[in-house]
Amino acid sequence: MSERRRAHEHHLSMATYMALAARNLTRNSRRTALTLAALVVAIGALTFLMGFMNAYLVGMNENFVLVMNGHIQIYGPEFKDSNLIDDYMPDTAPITAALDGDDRVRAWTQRITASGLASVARSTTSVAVVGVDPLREPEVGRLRTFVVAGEWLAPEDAGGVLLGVDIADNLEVELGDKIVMMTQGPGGDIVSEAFRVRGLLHSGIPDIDRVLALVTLSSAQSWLGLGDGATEIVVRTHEFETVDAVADALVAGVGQSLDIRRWYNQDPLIEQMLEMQDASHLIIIAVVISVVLGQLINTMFMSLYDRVREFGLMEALGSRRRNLFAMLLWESILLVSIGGFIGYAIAYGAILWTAAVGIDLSAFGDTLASMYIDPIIRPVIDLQSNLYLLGTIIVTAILAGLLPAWRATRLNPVEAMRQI
Amino acid sequence: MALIETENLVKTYRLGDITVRALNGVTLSVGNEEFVVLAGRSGSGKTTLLNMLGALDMPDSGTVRIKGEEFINLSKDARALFRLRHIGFVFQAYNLIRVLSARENVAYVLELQGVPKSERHRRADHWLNEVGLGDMGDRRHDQLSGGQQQRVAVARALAAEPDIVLADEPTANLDSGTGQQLLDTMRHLNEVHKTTFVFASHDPVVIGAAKRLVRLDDGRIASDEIKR
Ligand SMILES: Nc1ncnc2c1ncn2[C@@H]1O[C@H](COP(=O)(O)OP(=O)(O)OP(=O)(O)O)[C@@H](O)[C@H]1O
Ligand SMILES: [Mg+2]
Repeated sequence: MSERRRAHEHHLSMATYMALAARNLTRNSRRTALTLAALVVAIGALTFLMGFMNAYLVGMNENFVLVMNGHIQIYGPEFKDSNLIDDYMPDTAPITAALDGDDRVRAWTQRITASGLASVARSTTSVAVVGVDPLREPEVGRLRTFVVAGEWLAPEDAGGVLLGVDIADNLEVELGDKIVMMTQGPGGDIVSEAFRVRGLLHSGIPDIDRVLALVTLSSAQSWLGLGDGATEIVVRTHEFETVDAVADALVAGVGQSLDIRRWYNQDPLIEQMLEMQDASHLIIIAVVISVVLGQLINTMFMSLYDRVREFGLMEALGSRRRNLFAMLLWESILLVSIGGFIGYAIAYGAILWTAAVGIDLSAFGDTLASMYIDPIIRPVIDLQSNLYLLGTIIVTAILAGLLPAWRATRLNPVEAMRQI
Repeated sequence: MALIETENLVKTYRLGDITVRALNGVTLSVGNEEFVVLAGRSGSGKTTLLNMLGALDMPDSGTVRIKGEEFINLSKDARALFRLRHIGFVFQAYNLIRVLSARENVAYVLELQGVPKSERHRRADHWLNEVGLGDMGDRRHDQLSGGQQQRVAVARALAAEPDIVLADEPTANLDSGTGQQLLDTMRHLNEVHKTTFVFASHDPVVIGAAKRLVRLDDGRIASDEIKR
């Protein structure tokens, strides 16, 4: 026998392993079909679910940013801790100039935020008085789109206010009514001023509907005596990906002594949701793996026990342990690949279809809106989660094949062939 | 030099409290080109001895040498390699890998031996032809009769060019006419290709074809005679 042939001893080709695997899978076609069905459902559902979750999480992040928080917020160094108007930024010009010079910045706006009270003759309620730039604000956020009655603030309107619908309800005021708002100016002086209700805001987000009283930036500046100052500057970039770079540049430059925050550490809710996104992916994957793994291991063991005699025969014919091991492993991998492929194809189709049509959850409108979730969700196919899934499937297949394959190598051929 | 030699083989099986001495000191030597039949009552130890000769099973004590090579202390994989290179098997039943055709069954062993693909199929067809199954290469186990399955096993054993073919009750599931045909084929192969055969059987047809007859009784050799 030649050396060359010796080197190939016990090497079975992929074609042989695949032929054996495929034909053995059709041997008990009922069992194979059941296992395939389980795989298709599990992998299909998982793929679709991840597409769905990605969609609402991406939407949620985007909404959170776009409603009013922006990608980056800039405050005076003490403002977020003290919540005192005294800690406002008297001169924002260097920063706005820097923002204007940065191509990655899409828009910016300035605001004055102060907590206060709003009252009419019969009742009083607490509000967040927010002075906004009527022209710049819509470039950054969506506040303007929440106006459900009346009009958005006009730039020169010094005495107008927009109220969250819940505030208006509490005070029982309507468009055109007059309210008095009270807050603290710098140094702690209580200042009050009368405003006329020009419009109502409805967003479904409690932080807006129950809290906001919008006035123009210039009226807030003159009312509180802040000159050209503001308590915050809100920045929207062109892309999520450039947020850190823009913020870093500010921190290193004109914003050195200021408090600069990024969208993902603005709100504990969003931060938690982002962490949960990873955690829930993992949990779902873990559950699906255990179910699929159980079913697969069971199938592969039954397949092994059905063929004990045949494995004995193959050993008698000179097959080595690794030949038997590989046979069962490839069988398991083939089974999972077929199930995975079909499941993935169905889920992909379902995602494309629902993305086109949209999944309408507007029945839960305000609940979803309060979490910044869109009422109509369009699932997306996300490469990273799919790679996750692919890796998971492969690992599962190998795990499921491993144990029965190992068991096959432990058979005693003489005993195996004595079996009926 | 003898092709196979055993020395004082002992094998005991334990079934609960009972111990069965399947082989009780068997010393046997088989030379090249022999055509030996191990005969004896059921339970006399024929299969046990054959499995030892084929490196499928291990004795409790004693030695087995094939071409001077001792395999008693070899690992499972090393014995698999040993079988692959030196031994061909024909069993009483369940001879075929069920999902493979007759040709593929033969080719399977050749692939394990490292024979290139083109040669595998040529050789498989040649040997199927040799055992009279030239037109049945594509059939699988359920499309072949019992006798045809035995023939595929013979073709598979011989295609691998072993030093020795071990056949355990190859005719047990066949009618006597078919059994006789199979035996004639193997005698022919023994004479033309000089392949050594060792049978375990109590079938008169097999015993009648023997060149040498070894009788076992209770795990010992009771008689050993040259027939012709
Ligand atoms: N794996 C085993 N476990 C327990 N006892 C066994 C085992 N294999 C064989 N034996 C016993 O060893 C003895 C010899 O068995 P063996 O199969 O070698 O006999 P045999 O001559 O081939 O018989 P038969 O003609 O029925 O095939 C018998 O008593 C049998 O019951
Ligand atoms: Mg027997």
